[in-house]
Amino acid sequence: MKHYDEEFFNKMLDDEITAEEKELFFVHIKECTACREQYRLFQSAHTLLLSLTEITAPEEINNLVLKKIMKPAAKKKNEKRFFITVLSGLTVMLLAIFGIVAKFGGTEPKGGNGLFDNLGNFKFDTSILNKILSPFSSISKLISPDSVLLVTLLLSSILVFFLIERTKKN
Amino acid sequence: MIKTNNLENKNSVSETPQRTRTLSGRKPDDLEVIRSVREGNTSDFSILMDRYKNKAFSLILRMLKNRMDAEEVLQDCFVKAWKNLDSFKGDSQFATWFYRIVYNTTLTKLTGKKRETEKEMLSIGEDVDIRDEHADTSAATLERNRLLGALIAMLTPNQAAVVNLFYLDGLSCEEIAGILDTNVGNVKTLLHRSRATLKNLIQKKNLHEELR
Ligand SMILES: [Zn+2]
Repeated sequence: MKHYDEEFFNKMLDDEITAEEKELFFVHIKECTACREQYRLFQSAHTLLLSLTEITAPEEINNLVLKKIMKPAAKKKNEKRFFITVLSGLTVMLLAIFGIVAKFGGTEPKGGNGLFDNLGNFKFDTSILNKILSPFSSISKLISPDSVLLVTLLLSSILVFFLIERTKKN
Repeated sequence: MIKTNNLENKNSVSETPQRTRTLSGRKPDDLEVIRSVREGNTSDFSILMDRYKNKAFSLILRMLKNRMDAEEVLQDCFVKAWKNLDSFKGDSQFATWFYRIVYNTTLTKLTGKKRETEKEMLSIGEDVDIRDEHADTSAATLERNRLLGALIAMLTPNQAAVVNLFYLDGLSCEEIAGILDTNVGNVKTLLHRSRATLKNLIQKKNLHEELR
């Protein structure tokens, strides 16, 4: 008599056997004690494995992991914030210089005494500034100086507002 | 400062009623949690950890057979998952993606420590205690756990991984093959050998009737 092998018992457990084959098997184990015993043992092993339970992870695992991952995350965020602040600061400075040149560029100090001219306005000596900032000056001459100053002030205010908002969020 | 306005609030009394309304009555799924973590809510990563830590720990401990090493590897797995979260595209389940990390990290640990040969030489009677401390402690359950503990100690890391993923996580042989980066035939062989080992253990210890 040909006995059934381990592969067959495993297939029985995984329900990979046709109804016909199953019928033949059950007829066989009615007569064959060896195969019946082997099949029962496999069934017991399968049932035992089905009772496999979860092993509880240590309680502190979340905190330990969060500590590890939050450090680099915070560092990365700080670096980003620093970069944005520097970039914004530089933009504001550039816009301010651009605005000043647009307003005063190309004008020579008018007469008057001390810090004020004849009209009583603050006297701004732009002769040195003009030399340094001549490229800006030539661009700004193309546009109306007052409107450039206005736009500069507006953009600067928006930037400052965003910077404050960002700092608040973080 | 890290934002703490996390997804867990959605299931409890929340200070953000609008968000609560959108997800009330159900737990956020893995993808929703991942989206929140990616948006900067780092602490929401705890939701994923709570969901997978016990299952991952079971897999690691059953492969490594050493609690201290398993705890260390579990941490590494979560840190790796966090670092690589952007590479998770969502085309597979998060569980499968994460188990791949767990399996590979554990294998790396095993290769480093060369522990497997040592453990595989354990005789049947020597029971490596990798049972759950918090589990049911009735006599029948204890005997069952003792037997399972002895079985797992006899299994190779790959067999232990397959048994754990198949019986505990209820994954198919195809899914397990994906995690182990092997073919379905190999997974079935590992599973069948594990069953045969346990069958022999039951036979040898004459526990057949007791387990019925
Ligand atoms: Zn037979």
